[in-house]
Amino acid sequence: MLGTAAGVGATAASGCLGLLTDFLGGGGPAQLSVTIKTVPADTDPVMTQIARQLVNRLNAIGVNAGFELLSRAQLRQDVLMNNDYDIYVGEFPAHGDPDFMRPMLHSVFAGESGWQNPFEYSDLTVDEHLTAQREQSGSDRKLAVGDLQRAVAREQPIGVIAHPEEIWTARDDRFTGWDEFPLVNPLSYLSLQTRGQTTDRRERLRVTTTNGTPTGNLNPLSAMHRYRGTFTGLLYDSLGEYYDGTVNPWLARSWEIDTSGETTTATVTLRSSLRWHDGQPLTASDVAFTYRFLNDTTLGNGETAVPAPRLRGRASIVEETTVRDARTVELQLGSAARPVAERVLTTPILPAHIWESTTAQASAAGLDMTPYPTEAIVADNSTPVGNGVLQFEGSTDGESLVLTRFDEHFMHRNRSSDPAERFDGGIPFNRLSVRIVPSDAAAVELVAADEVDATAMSIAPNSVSRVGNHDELNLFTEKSRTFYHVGFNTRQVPLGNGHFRRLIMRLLDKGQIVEEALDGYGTHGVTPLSGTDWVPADLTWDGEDPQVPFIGEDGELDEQRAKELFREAGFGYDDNGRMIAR
Amino acid sequence: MIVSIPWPLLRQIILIVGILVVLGFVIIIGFDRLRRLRYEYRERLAAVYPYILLLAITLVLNSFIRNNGQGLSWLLDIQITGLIYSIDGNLVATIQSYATDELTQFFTYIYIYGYVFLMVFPFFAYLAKDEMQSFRELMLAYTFNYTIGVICYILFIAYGPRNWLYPDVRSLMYIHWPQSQIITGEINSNTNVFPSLHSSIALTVMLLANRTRDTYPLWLLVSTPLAICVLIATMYLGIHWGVDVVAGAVLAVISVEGAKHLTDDQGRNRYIDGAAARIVAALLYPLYVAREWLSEIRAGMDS
Repeated sequence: MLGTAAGVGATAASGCLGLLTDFLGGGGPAQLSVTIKTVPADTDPVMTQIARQLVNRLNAIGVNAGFELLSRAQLRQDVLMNNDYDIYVGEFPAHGDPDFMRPMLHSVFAGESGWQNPFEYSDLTVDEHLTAQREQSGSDRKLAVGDLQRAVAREQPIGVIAHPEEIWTARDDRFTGWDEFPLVNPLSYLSLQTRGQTTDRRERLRVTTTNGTPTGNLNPLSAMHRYRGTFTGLLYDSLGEYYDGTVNPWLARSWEIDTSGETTTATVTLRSSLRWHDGQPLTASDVAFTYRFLNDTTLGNGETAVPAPRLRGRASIVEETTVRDARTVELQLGSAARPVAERVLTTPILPAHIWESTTAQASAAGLDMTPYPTEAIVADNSTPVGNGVLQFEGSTDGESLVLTRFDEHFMHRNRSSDPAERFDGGIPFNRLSVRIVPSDAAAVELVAADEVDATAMSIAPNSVSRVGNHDELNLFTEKSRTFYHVGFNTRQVPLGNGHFRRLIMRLLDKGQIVEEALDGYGTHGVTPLSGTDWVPADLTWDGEDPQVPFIGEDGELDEQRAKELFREAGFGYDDNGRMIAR
Repeated sequence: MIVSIPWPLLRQIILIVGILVVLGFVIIIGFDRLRRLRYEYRERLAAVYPYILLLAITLVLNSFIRNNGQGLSWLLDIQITGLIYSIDGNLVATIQSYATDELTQFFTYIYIYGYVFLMVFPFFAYLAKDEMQSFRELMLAYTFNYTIGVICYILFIAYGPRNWLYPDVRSLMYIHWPQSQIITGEINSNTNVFPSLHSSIALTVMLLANRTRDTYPLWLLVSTPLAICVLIATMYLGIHWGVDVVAGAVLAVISVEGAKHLTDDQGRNRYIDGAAARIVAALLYPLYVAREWLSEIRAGMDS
């Protein structure tokens, strides 16, 4: 109750009002103010709940904490593009291999926009570990990744809270095979089979999602509009696809990775007669173009390089590309060891003949990134030309998206002894229609009413019981690598201070969050890799966080103790119990 | 648009509100007035069409702006939810702490059926009155509501309590009845809660019912509790803040006073009448020309 009362006053006093009261207050020391940004409960109730709790608790310990709700795209614009935030609560699109932490936290990416180090974090030790894990393999790499996690868990530039499970629901009266991959993974659509003995394709697969972005924007480079990139993943294929624990050949028939020399090289051979959706041939030059382009969307024409805000982490390994012939390309991968080198190959390949004309400087309302963005970054790409198993047919903004089977795709031609035979037969339908709904609850009801076959997104834990109300619905869950986290803008005082970040994280009871907000559908996060074999024994969850244990018990914050700890870390309080900004 | 409308729910709304309106015909309007309306409805519609046209244009513009104005809202970036919350505090959470399944059911029906009935019935009731002043005022007051409302929606970004105070406040209606979310146009508009248009329209109807209490005393008795239930429903269901409801009440008063101010004692406004006449003339002129032309040709063929 106390926390709530403090919250009321403090919220009113944020921003300009805060300045005014400080001024009227006679120039005493100003109270420390931070704003926490996240998305509304309609979009993600878990994030709202975590952020709300953090705001209340910061207010309870004398920080003037403001709360700001933003749409998904606006939050990403503020955090990833404009660096206009103090603290946010969000979800991170992590991958199977720990190298995703390199673009996330290495200081060379601090100046870049997009998913590259949005925390503007720079720490020599973390940098060293990030570089080491890239260069090693086997048990050496495992040790390096362990050290890296220790440094990150200690410093908390990003406070990992929990890895939520993917939860999806589908009806199996027309299609089966829903359990192979979560439906956020494009490969799930290739794993479906038509129900019954028939091998005929069905006319239509109908799915629904709460995210309307793909109906107006299908730009695979946009960090603002893409999160998992499910639909762009169906539209754009990569050289290799990650499944069954490794990267497997996809657009590439095969590759050779040579780590013996000074620099690692990957020699990739494409499949024969690949085509883009517009009929143009897909060649090794498109592959070379893609990696160059992701690293600099001006293609060298700008004053400085403008890397893509998304997919850049993987592409950044590529130092040079050489086209050997129409089907062979050689990639110079610096000092990357094999696992990191293979991850490079999972980058979607773009058609050079479309994207090479998008290198000019551009602007978009509200976007405030430096250096200036290129057309490639701000483009809607609302009628994409890709190479994937599905091609674009049409969309109605905010309502629906229709993709059709790309019959020229290598998956859909007669093949023999194919490396990707696991997905034999390709897409078992002619059309995929995606319908946008306002909430997870509405999405589940649409599946129940047989208006759609499945939810294309992960549904929130608070909608799970709704699935149980309908016998004909199947519920699927799977561990996911993404994680809910608190992100700190380390450029802001005092968020650059590791002690301060650690104490903020200690205001949250991760155990209670997993139990209540996630309803048990998730694992406690200690490091970005929690729940995988990469985590060293000293960083596993053991009833509490080994690095940033909750200050309190059973979800109740011990406010006095918390204040003491902040004081000990050098954060002073005035006579009214307000933490003073330094 | 057609893709996402749940027709079964829409049919249900039309059916239930239809029944309520028919009951209202019998009980509130009465057979005498209905009989007169049957003979005079053409003349009456001809007398008030400028005001119907004005409201229709407003509603079309309103839905266009609401669907396309979100980008502009974010560019202006005037976020007022924190300010609203600092005034409102835990009012809605307190109201929701009394929630029961029965109350949720009740307020959901009020929010959907009760509200639509409240909004639609005066069209018929005032068309059945002997003078058209009340009808014109109704049209103008609705126009004021939607115009000022949409300006506020573009100007301010405000999330409702169900988004801001989750999990202390939950979206009760959508939990019990997710389909209703699709029809209430929640897809792009969860930043449009200030002011509460549900509240302002309900109160506008109530204020106008008070002005026509001599003709329809029963309507005042029906609309007053119904309007108050709508106000409570918007908060109980977690959709609006108390501040939104108060702002809605202010908007209702402005709208009714504005409508009175703009009209003479017959409810007429010569600018609206003039503009409507011009619009209709412009629309009909080509038809007139075509008819003249055809009759000329016909005359030519006869001779």
